[in-house]
Amino acid sequence: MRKIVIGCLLYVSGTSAFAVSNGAFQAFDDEYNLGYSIANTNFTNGANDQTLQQSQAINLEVERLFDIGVWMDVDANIVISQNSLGNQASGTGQGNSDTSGYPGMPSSQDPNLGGVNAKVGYAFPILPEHLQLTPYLLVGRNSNLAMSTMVSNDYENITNDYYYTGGVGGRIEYRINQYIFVYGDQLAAYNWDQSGPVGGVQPQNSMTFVSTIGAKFNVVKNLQLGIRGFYTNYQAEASPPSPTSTNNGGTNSNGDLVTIYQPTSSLGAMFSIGLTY
Amino acid sequence: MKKKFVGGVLLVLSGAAAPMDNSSFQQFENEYNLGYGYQGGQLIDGSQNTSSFTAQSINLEVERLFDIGIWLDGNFNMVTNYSQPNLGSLNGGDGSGDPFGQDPFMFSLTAKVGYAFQTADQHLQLTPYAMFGRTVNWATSTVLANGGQNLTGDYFYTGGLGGRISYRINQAILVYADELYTYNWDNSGAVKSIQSNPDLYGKSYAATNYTFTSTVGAKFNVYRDLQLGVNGFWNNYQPQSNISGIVYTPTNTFGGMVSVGLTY
Repeated sequence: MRKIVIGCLLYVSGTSAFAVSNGAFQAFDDEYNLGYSIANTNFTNGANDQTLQQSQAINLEVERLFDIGVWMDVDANIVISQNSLGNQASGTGQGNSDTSGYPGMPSSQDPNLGGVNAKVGYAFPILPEHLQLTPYLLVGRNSNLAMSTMVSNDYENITNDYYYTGGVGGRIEYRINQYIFVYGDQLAAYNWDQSGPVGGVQPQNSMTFVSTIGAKFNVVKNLQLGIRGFYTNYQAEASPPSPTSTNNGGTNSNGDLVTIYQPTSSLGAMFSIGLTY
Repeated sequence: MKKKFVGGVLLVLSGAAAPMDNSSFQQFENEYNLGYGYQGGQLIDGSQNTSSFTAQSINLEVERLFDIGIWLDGNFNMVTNYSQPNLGSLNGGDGSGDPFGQDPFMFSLTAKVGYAFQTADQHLQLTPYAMFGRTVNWATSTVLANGGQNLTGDYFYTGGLGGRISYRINQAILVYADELYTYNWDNSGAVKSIQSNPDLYGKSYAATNYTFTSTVGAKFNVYRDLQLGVNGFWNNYQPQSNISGIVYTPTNTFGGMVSVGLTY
């Protein structure tokens, strides 16, 4: 048994140590694209009230699989639309900040309005030209422009309201043929809040678990189309705090004490058009 | 004289129509990079009072020169730090209790598409291009004029025309100059709101503006696919109407960017 384990380890390490031809995967992974996404996000507050929000974003992504097997993916995004689907009267909808100058709430409880993230990993070919496994690390900088963050920071300079994001993940890719390629991606990321909110909202640090499945289509020459679906599960490091005048807390239409909403899950999809190189 | 002129035009057209080997320029222009930018800017109000701001940003750029001569450049920019004196409740600023300043361009995603004309000796290239994109309009005055409504509704559609001249010194160094004329078409609805509140904002401030951007830069192919870049830029802003209100608006910015990228 011991010999088998050692043999397997040597086999795996040998596979990773020697450069292998990854041209078949580079035909899909050496690309950049412009994407459009739409997502629905669920929120819950301390009174278990729930609300739903729809957002749209645009993305610029650059991806590269080096000859030596190192894989890199840099993604920048801007949220271009946020629409609260909740009921404003019951406190689950966007609006009514009751703040002078900002009565309509400039932001929602989804903190992400834009960011840049980079993944760097190593692609292990499992089945040559068909199956590839890529564990990776993620680093990034993402906005923390939740309404509660802005209120808690007394509407100070928003460029201080952001997260450093770090994570680990894995991607498995299956190249069906020279035109079609599918993949699954699982990421666990930690969002380290740098906004320093006051009023008892800290910590806003959170974990996010992002599951993605997608496909790429090399349709003609260098043109590549892409589609993906993603599900994000949010785990805030702390429960919503007791409401105060500065943390966006208050009472709902029934007079119940409620606190800030936090995102719990998000489901979305993205379409992209890109070029291979 | 007429024959010479016609002949010259035909020569230029034939040169443009015939595919040329642009591989020497592709070694510099088939690239993507991550950049860090720093800029200082000047603000002015209708009474000719001036102030200043500084901003830092990170940038993701993707560039490609196709074999047939079409040139493409996509650019994402995100301001990561902004600082401005407190200019009052309508103008915001660092520490004033307002989340924004008076430089509205916090996020942008833009693309340039052009055609690269080059000389036969593979050294000089001229690229006229069109630019379009989407840029946020997160000035304090804009957000307040809109009653603090949903920020994602505060943006510009950006369109422009420009030209770039590139000079490839050798296989390791390329320098360029770029001039861009941009129209930032405000979609926030701030103009209407501002015009309806003349007591607060003055009568002629408009968020829609023209921007003239001048850039000089260099690219260095230092080792294999690694490319370093540096550029300096100057923006001149021209609001669509005269500045006569109490709202500050940017007039000029000057800055630079360094980048690390990869060619392909």
